[in-house]
Amino acid sequence: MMRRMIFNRLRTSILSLILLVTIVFFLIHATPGGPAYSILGMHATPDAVAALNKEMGLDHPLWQQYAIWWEHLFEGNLGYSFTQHASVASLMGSYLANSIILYVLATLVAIFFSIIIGMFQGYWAERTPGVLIGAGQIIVYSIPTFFIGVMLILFFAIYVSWFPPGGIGGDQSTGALNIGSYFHHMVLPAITIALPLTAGLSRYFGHQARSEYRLDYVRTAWARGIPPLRIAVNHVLRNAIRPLVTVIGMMIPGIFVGGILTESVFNYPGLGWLLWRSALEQDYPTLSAIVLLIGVLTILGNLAADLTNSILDVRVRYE
Amino acid sequence: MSSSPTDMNVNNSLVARPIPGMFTRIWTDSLRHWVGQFSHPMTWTGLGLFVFLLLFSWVGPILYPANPLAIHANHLLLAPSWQYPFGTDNLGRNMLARMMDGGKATLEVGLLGAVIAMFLGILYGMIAAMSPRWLDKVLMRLLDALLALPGIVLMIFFAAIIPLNTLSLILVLGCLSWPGLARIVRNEALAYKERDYVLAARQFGASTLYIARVHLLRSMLPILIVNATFMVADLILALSGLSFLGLGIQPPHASWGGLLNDGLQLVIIGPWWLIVFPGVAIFLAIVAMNVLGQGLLARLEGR
Amino acid sequence: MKAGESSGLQVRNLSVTFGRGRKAFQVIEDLSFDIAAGETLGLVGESGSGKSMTAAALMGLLPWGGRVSSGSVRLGETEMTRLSNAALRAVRGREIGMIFQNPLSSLNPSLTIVQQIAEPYCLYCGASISAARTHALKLLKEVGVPDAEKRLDDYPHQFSGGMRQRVMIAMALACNPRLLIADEPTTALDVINQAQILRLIQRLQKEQGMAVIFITHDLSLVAEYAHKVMVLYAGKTVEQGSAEDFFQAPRHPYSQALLNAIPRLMSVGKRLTDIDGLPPRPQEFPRGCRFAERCPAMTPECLTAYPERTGTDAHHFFCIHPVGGAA
Repeated sequence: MMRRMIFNRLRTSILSLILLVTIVFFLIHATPGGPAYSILGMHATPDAVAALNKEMGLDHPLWQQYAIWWEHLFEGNLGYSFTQHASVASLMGSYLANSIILYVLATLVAIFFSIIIGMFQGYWAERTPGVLIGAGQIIVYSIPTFFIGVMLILFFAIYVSWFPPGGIGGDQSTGALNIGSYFHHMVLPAITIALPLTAGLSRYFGHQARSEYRLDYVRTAWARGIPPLRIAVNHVLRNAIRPLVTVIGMMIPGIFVGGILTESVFNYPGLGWLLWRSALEQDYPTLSAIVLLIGVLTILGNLAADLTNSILDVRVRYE
Repeated sequence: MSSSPTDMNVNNSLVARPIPGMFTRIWTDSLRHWVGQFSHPMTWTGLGLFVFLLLFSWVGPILYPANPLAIHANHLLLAPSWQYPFGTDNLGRNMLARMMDGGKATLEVGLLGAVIAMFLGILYGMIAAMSPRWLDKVLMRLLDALLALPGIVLMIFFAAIIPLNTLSLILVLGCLSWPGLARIVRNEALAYKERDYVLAARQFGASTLYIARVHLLRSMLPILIVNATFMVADLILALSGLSFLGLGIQPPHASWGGLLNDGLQLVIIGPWWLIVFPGVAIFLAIVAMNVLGQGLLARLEGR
Repeated sequence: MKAGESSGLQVRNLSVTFGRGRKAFQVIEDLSFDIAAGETLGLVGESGSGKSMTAAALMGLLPWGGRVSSGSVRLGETEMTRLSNAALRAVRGREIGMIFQNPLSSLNPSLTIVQQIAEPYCLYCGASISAARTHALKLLKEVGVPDAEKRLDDYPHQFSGGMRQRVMIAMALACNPRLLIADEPTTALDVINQAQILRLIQRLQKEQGMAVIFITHDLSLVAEYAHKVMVLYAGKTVEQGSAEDFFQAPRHPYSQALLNAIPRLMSVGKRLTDIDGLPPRPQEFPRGCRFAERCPAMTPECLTAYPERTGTDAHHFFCIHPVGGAA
């Protein structure tokens, strides 16, 4: 029964991935004048365009190009960036690693604070502190990510100079990485991503905790003399935390959105920054490869969240 | 989000029939009813704030006629004063006039883009809900794939391709923001489809189109309105983000996101007014719509 | 009960107030009762009469905004109203056990039975985990859960309704409490389970010498299981006495009306009488007798002041026109 559920879930994810690849394929071919123009620029000579088309196999019929596109994907060939003069796949590596470390760090921070804030909000619901927390969440949630970043730079990087205003630690050219400096550079971007995330997640979690606190089993726990902290952790949290994995799965696109803007504000060399630079430089192969990669990561992230959740659920139900 | 329909909606679709001579009364009654249904302190706060921003952007230039593009070479980077209430930028342009101009562009794209996105989302969701099961499944898988690509990623992709102006941005943002709504509409429509009064209408031979239009859409209206407010907030945020990245409204025309980016370039010199005013304006617009939406939602959930 | 008998519960002039200043209102006023060890008090009233609020006040678990505004609650030698939060928690964990109406929702769905039974036992009785497990097993056997060894690590949703209530009882008894508060323990159960559960409570009470407060709106259950009866109406006592006295000759018109509303096998064909109207809300309690508005024997005097206590310690009531004539 559980195997069947996992199988079903895998099937829909694979279907989504196939559709995603197709969508990105058509996105590339929707560029005005076709990919060759976009690579060579609007003022390319027809000869140069024809030559490039031949080189990239763009003179084949669309269905053949589609097949080639798939073939290249399976070979890990994501195209060649003419502006960076490197294959896109080789470009991506360090950017992807930088982004994933930053996003995971920010998400963990957000989850940690969301749980604490949410528990207090649930405990204080309908009393003044709870209402204040709720108002704070809407306000923080409404501050644009990039504005948070700008304000953090203004205060922590320029006014008090505790953290660098951007970039990344270590010397990128020699590849020598200074771990301390690496994370020092990561503090402000991580806060920038984590703040709106915390506002949204803690609001959700607060609602969850509030409804748990009203349930009869919490009354039982009070009546049996269990101390408040133990009730919060051992009883309420245990139940309120259940949908958390699903919610985090649903937040993945939002994390990418925040990440793209944050990396651009802080000049942090991650996927989002690369996406931004390639959009400004009209580097289509890199652009489409990143779009594809973000889509794939989102689908895989959702899949992972769903599977984790079903395993947790089954453990509770059948143990 | 799954909301149950309020009883009042059920009554509306049954009772609000065009009785001759009663039309005006029914209309005013249902208007009062609607206002009552949505009245909540948060609704009024959000609405008031948003109307203020609209007035600032459209009525403001009439009351404070200054050219947002005029360059005053001897008034560079002036702090706010009586002459320039929001200061001037590094070209000596009047920041207040630029803020009003930028507000026009930002709110225009947000509102009109939301109209397009709402239309497409409702259309797609309704088609999925009313079509046979296999087609619904195909459409939903396609939606999953689209939802895996955050709107702003696709927007950046397209912003790199198309010529950037207000109209093209309205179209791109509108055409890329509907998938989330489409799923909500489809799920709501499926829930309403099984209700007794819809089944009854079908028994009486009402066409699919009629049922979708009259019964389902009308029942969903409150939820659509709530989502429309969030949609406007999302689009304002998206446009500001794009403009901030230099991929939105292009200079010399102003938008709040673009102004914020301009300010950030000069952050080392420290003219705070170039950062704070556009940043706060974007924040206020988004908070207005979010508070409005939360107020409506609170009423819908009966709080 | 004399003050020297220290193992029971003694409540004097207990009042519970919500809100402050002009908005303040009392939900419970001036309750006094005693329960000796091994004795059962049936606390009877309509919903909203203050039964559950009384239990909450005894436990020190009033909802937010409520407080004990006067009176004293003595459990054995301890004055409960003066205890600190931590001390009160220890009393709740060790000296008072409580069981609730809906056993499924009153159990934590994501903790196993043994985890829930053992929690306060580990906290307050200082037992190790293995000792707590043995103890939980003993308790489950005692309350009559079949296959207790196998069921220790089950989750609440794997139990049937009656079994869940047995688990609740086992949890309440984990630290051998002196007082057991049973708040409508059988309302959610069918008749057979109801009788079994109440017998079980009765048996355990005899074995351990607990005082029991049995909160219910069902007078027929009180007649069968309680030694003493206290009838509450709108936050005040209307009549109190030993079960025999009360059921032989109820004196307050409200008690009489409650008794008349019980369907009886012997009275087939007779009409059941019900009571018209609703009890007043706490914000609108009248100055005089609170039942006056719905009382068949009401006279203008009833509205001027709350009636004096009439009768003996063993059986008394608050009414100026008692059933069966003035005392």
